[in-house]
Amino acid sequence: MTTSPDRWSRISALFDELVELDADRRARRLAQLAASDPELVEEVRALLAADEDISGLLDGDAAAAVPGMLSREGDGKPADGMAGPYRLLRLLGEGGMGMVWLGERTDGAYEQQVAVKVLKRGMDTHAILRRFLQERRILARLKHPHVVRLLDGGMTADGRPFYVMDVVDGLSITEHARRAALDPRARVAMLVKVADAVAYAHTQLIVHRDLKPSNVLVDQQGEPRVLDFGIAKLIEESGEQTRTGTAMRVLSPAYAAPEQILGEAIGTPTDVYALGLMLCELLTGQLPRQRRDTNPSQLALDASLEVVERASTLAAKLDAGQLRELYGAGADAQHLARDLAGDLDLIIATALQREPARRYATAAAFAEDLRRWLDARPITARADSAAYRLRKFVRRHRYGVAASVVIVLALLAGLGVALWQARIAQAEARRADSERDKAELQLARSERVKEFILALLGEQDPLSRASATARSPRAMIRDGISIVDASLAGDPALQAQLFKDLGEIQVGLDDREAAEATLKRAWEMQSELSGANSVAAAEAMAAYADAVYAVGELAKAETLIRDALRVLRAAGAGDLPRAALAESTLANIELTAGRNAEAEALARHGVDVFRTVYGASHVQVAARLGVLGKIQQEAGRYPDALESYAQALAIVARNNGEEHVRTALLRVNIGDVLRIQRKYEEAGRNYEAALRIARASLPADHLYIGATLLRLGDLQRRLGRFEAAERSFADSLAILGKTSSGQYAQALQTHGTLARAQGKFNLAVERYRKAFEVFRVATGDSVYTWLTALLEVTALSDAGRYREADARAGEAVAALQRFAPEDEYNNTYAASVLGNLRLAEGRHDDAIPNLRRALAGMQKIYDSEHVETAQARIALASSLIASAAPAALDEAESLLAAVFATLEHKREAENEATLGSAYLERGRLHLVRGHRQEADADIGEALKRLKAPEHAPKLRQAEVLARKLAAR
Amino acid sequence: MSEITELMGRARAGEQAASERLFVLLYDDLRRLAAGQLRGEQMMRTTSLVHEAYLKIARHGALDVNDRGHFFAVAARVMRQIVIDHVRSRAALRRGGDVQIASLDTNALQAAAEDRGEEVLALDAALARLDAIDAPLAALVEMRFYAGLDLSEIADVLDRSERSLKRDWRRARAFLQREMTTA
Repeated sequence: MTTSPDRWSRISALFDELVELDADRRARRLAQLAASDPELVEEVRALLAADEDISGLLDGDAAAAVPGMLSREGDGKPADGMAGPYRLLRLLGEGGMGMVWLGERTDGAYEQQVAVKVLKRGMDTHAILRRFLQERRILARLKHPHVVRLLDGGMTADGRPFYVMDVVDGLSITEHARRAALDPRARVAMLVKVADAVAYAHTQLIVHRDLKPSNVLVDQQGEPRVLDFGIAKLIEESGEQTRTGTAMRVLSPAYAAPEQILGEAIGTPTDVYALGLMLCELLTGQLPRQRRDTNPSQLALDASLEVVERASTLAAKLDAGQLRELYGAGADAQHLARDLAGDLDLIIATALQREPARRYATAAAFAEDLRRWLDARPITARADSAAYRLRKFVRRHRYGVAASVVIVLALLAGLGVALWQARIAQAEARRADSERDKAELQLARSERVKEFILALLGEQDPLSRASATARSPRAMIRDGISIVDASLAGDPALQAQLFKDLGEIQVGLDDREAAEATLKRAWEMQSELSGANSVAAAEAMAAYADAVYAVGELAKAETLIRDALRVLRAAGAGDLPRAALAESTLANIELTAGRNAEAEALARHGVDVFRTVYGASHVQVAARLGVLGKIQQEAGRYPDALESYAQALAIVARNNGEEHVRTALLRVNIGDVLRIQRKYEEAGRNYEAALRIARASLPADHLYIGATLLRLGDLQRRLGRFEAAERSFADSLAILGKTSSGQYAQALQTHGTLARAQGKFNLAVERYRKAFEVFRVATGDSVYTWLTALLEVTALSDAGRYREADARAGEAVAALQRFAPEDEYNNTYAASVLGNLRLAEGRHDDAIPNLRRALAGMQKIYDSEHVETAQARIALASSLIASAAPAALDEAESLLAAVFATLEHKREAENEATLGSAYLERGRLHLVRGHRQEADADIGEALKRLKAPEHAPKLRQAEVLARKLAAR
Repeated sequence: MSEITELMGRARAGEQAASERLFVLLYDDLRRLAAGQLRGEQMMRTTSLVHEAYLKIARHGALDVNDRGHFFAVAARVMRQIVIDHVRSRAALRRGGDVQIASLDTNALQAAAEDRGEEVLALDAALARLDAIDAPLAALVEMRFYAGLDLSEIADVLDRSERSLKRDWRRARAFLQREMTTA
């Protein structure tokens, strides 16, 4: 019976109501309803009756009802042993898309035996079948002596598409050439026939897309026959068009043309590329380029930038064993290399151009040049036109799809690489064919990786978390490393790779010591496996250097990075991301050492490399912009820094959303610059947003939270909220104090500044001193270390401990001169600290030149209207007044006038103390000149404004002056 | 893995092709997991299969809460298809084909259970009728019966109260029971 949804909802409501009632009340209610809608009541009654039935089926679940369901799929043969009217006799082979059976027709239509390819599960969308039926006639029209005919197709009883073709009893073209020990000319001649077949298909507007040795069989008569024309296209286009993920599922990365991996347009040059590869493999037994198909970004990069080796070079490198295997006894490598050098090299290289448009346009043109070579005529590939060379410069590669692949990677982070590897390995395993041994190894690997990941994730299952304690990510990764250690000992290559991936995750999780140990092992293993000077070892070394840097051993990290970069640059990988990443770390080290220009150049190179490789709006570019911004910020180029950060933030927000944890990091940076620019409210908003986002997505004791709290605490201090600031610092120091990092030192330093703000000058000295020690451990004798010493000088001076202050100031100024003699900020700051110390000590002759230098520097660094500049003016005025020379007094007067003019425009609470100092000095000036009344008024203003504990020394001076005035 | 996560997002946004592709990928996954579990010793149930498939993609942060509900709904539908395919292929087998698969499970219990194949097909037909008038209710049946999830788990992923799900289930069960006995 049919029920309308409306009616069903009325039935539902009644059922829900009645099913709860006891039998009597139910009967009464039903009787009552029967009057108005007897049919409805009947249906509800039937449902209530069914509710009381015992259902053996529904009260269990499917697994109980169908126990054999989950049994092994056997060999993939359809259950009834049939594919449409074809009986499947025996398995001929297995390919990536499915299995090939020897079959025969059962309906007696004709006797001939055929090959039946039954597609695997996972590809059995109706879309494939629909497309197949559309294209079958076109494909069946392909009639060529070297093309295997497509005869028929349909769907098996259990719903898998199959197609039927001629049986070819033979070996793959490479295997045949090897067994028959064909000479190079015979091999070229064989490939000409293959190219002819492909050229014929091209005239029928059919592109093969999946040409490789296992798709070219040589029959008993020695003729090559090409299989599976157009099948790859059917499958791809029935799925999601040209998406790389799909292509990778179907294609073997080893044989795919760059445009297939990069998801660019596919056409006849795609087949030309494959023919070129096949020729190279046929002649040299090898593919002319290595694709490290371990992760998709690597693959996409390799594909977009790869340089193919000359066939003759490959041939020259063959050892005797390989040569005998390939050409039989008596072959000579030098002889072979000579045969291939020149035109044949050029023909292959032309077919293998990265850009499809630079290859032979059609398989026919490729075949024609091979014929010319066989006949020793001049080949057409020689005429690489000037127009082409010009276009090469004008053209821009399209990296769009490569970028999307890498976004996926970025989302998955490190572990994703292993998962990807597993997927690629599986895809490859499906392509088994002639590469079966390798594929089995890869499949075994992927299984192990999968088991490993499942083991890792077991306890993280949100559904069973009630019973299991969730582990911290750090513990999880550490466990993972033990598992890799214990279970993959037999596969050092995979082990080294996983150590590297997991170690990089540990760096990300800030598990520094563990990361250092893990990556050290990865580096050592990789060096053992592929040689200390290999690119892979250099990459592992650079990863290790990052961990060493994170631990705080800068000198060691620098040495390692420079070594790694040397290897990478020598191998032509200097403009690839891994090198750029190493340069970022190096840039940070240069910055720490005060070499700003070197640091910025390295950072800019990183941005350029990533823009070129990934595209301008890729998340990876944001990370590089962040590094650049940091360096600009440290170099005092604030508008540039803000611009870099803003670009980075926009990229991250667009790719990952406004609330992604990376936006938190960038907001902290933006807040920093704003804070330096004294835009405190705006800075505070950025810090608070960052803290909220970081707390939502990171562990509570994560470094970034500690660092953000530190900044917030500092801001609260500046805004006079001392208690809130103490709380922020307490939390921050608890997080950051676990290691002697630069950030911990910075927290201690800022904490010292808080003590100073509270007028606790001796406590401030203590904290600055500790900050100095930690900086020294974390960054060595760096600018940071000695700028902290200058802060200590100021606190010592405030505390009246002049002798200690003198000694410390001498050390600091000398050290800064040593590291960064040219640095404007350092010099200005040092002059200011020293000048103020001399002023406090009453050594005015020494104070005045230092304070003049400080004022000049401030005007340059900030501008003449900045508060810092005003403070420098006040300090200079103060020491000029103390010198009591008439000219000096006049100068002081005009300095103070400028200060008042400046501060009038900046009537903010935080400038009150500066204004107070200005009043104090003007009062002093009036007093020196004998203007008692004016002096009295100014001192009164000063007393009102210097109440903050930080300004206690000045307040005391004001009080002394006030008493003096009162006494007269 | 990532492909599944991505497809999930697109499928949830209503993209038909993504839904289909998701279905195919999960079908492949669940089947492979099933074959893999045979090698292990643990008692096999559909629920652990679906959970394992979920685990594979539910790495920390890889799926948001909405995706979780969607995932289980799709996985349940996939399991339904696997069950039906299996029952149909076995029916074909009994009509006289290769006996290779049957030899794998010949114990008496399973042999007895095999007879439920017809019932399972009848349920599928009844469920199709329920789907036509009350799709959410049919989805609930898929998650409970085919994916083997507990009502409490379903309540969790759908963010519904267990009590209201219990009521829904009772109603769905009555509907199917009646359809199967009267059809």
